[in-house]
Amino acid sequence: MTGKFSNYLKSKKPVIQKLVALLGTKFAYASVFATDVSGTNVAVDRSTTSVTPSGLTECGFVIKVFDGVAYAEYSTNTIDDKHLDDVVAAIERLVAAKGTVPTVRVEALREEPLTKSFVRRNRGRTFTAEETIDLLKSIVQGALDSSSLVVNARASIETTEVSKMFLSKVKDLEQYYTWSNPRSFALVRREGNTKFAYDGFGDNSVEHALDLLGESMDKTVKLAIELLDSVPPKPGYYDIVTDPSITGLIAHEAFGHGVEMDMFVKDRAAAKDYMGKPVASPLVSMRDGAASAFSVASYFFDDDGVLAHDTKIIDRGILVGGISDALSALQLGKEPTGNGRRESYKRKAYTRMTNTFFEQGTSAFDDMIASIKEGYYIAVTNNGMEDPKNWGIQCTAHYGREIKDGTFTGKIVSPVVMSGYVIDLLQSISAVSRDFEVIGSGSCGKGYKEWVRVSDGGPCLKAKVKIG
Amino acid sequence: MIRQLMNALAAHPAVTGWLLNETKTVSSQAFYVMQKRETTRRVETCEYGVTVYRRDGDFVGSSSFFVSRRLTKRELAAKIDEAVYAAQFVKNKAYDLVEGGAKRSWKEPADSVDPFVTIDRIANAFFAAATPVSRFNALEVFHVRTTARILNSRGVDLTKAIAKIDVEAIPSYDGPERKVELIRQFSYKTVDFDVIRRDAEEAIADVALRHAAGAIRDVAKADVILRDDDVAEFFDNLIADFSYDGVYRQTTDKKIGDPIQKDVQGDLLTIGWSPSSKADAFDRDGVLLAPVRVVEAGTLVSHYGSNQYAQYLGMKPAGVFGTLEAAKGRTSVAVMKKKPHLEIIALSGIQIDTYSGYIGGEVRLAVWDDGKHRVPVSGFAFSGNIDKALSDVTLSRETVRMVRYRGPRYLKLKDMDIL
Repeated sequence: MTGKFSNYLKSKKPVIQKLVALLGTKFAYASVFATDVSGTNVAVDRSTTSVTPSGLTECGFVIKVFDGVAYAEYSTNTIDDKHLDDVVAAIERLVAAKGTVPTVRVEALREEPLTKSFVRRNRGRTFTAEETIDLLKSIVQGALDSSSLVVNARASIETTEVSKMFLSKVKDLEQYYTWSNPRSFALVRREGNTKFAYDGFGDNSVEHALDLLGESMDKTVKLAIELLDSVPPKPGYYDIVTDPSITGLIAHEAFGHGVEMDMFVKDRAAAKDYMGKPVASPLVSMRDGAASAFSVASYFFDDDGVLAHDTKIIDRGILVGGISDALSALQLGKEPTGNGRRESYKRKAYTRMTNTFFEQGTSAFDDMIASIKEGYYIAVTNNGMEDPKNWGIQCTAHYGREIKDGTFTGKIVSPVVMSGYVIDLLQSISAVSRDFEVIGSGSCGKGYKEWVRVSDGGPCLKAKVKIG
Repeated sequence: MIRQLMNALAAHPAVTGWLLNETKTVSSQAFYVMQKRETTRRVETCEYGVTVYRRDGDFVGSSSFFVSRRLTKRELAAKIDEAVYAAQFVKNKAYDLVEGGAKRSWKEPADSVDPFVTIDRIANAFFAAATPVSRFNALEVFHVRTTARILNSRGVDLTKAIAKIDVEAIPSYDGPERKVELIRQFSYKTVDFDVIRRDAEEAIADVALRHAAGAIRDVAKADVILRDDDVAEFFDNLIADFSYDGVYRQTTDKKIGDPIQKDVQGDLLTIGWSPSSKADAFDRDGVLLAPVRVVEAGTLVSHYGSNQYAQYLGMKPAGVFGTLEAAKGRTSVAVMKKKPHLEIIALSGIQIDTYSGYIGGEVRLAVWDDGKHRVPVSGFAFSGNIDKALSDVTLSRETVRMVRYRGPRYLKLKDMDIL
């Protein structure tokens, strides 16, 4: 890690400023978003080791203009003095490609002047490739040695170093930050019965992340072995208690996507008509924002050049706010909330969640378990899918622990697929624990594409859901 | 840039092999909101993946980095040094890079029409399917042409130019009391407006059905018919672990000759991989692709996958493919639908866990046919045991050709739980 803002982007700043000034004479709005993200993923399993670029690695530019009618964006990885005219010509060709479909009515983005740079370095020391590989190998070997049931184990750490710059007529923003995601995975087999478990978390200290990875692997192996005795749950309606990852999955899939306000512009979200109305149990409050928690999506400004926010979405059961990118906010006459994010510089910015979570409650976890007559404690996010307009929900947990008469029976089920109607689920929440965790290792798609890194979490919830 | 990279790699004393992946992307994109154009985008990029290899007797180490801009000589040297340093600690079992032959290239025919003109026509074709109560509240069209060139230190120099058009469409229906939508994804290799119009009309018809859909009542078990993407996803999940990588890492314990269906009363499955087109001729290691059958008549007959893991298993590299291919069945969809069934039109995502045997999903739209009436239904889930389902699966003789899948369009799973 270099520990500082990209020299490359710094070197490009004068030519980008020249480009913004030039485009400013031709268009009502012009900006350039520049990104230089480097990173490495080191992964070790029983038989192989790999050192590959992080999936977030990219370096390029998005030039955005508004010609008074519609927005156009040109993504390139070449901006220099020699090719400046080519870039301008490409943008002019793009703007000229009007087509026959009428355009939406929209104005030029309004921006307040702001010049600022932000830096958040990796805490603690960094590790050489040799140190990282040795450490991961020892963790994997430890897992393999721990039980003859373990047929493979994988430990990995992905480190990223992000430099982003946003320049427009009035804005000059730079940010540098780092993040690391360690992950553990274990595959176990007994008499032809195969099961797996995994864990992932995030930290902006490689040192701390690697410190915790061994413990993560121990937990993963233990769970995988337990899962050898798992069966799928019997379909039905159950009282459940969620772990923070499943709480986060519910916050994210059930409600978070529904308050992405680009969906309001497209009339794709039922939440649009529920502002100020009850949508959840009064025990529930929910937030999202790059500034709401310190995790994988904690940037200083978004890909539209809007500063990070902390947005309250649900306040004691009442829907009070949504999140937005700059263009959607403009169309809705709202202030943007710093949620404009791109999968990469090659993709459009949409309204996206960042760190999304339910707020802490007052219940004790043990009391919540004790209050369940028949149900499950469900844990470890597998996947989920949103349905913001019709408020359907599908959330899959990797496993559940059976509870009968307030105690764990020792029976384990896997996988646990929950489905139902979002409002029913949120209104069924009858206890919210004092525990709280935001897990910074997730990825989120919008529909079935546009993947960005997100965190989610919260306390443990007691709710009623359909499992099947 | 290629020359600069090749020279720097060849000159480095510790580099015993290298692989370069150049990807040029030209993409035109348009985004429509409420059937009006909101944003147009153009992407013109050239990026490089660089992998250095460091062989040391029975071991080989590799490390990759990414280049997205012109580097100075010093910057490039530093990147290679860093990769070489990391590679020395990656002590994998040795394998050889793919051996090159003649320099070759493949090209899918380029669209002679300006991409934005094509996009505009596609948008109009979708919007023409709208009715006074239904429309596409969002439509995104991506016209993408990717040119991939692969070179390695053993003389591989292959180039392919591949094109496709991806569409995400959100058909929406505004009823008097409620509004509903579906998410539809389409991928086209060629622009055939008959197909595009059919897709648009079907999407609009489906969302009208979702509006009409009610809760499913008094159905605890049903035969479930999947179609299109869900069929592809089903087959994909079935054979995912049968790669060389999966075998080497022991994610599967199935061996060649093992049945993947037991006590078969229905159709026997034949599933494999194919290149997505003639031009899609090689994978990212430079392995030339030819169709491979993974499962034949319900039995695992072959593994597939990357050069590295194929060599570890002493097999011929088959490569990494993009298109799944399955043999069609003998039953017409009309016959499949004769008995009571639930035809799934939209799932939030099929959930398959081959280890636990779980298959299921949340149903966003289906048609329940009890033999007398066809009723659109929504807001429930189905689930079952995959091994049991595989013993009596029915494949349609009607087929579908998508970019990611070619094979039977419909697949029937018997006796699923409905909740």
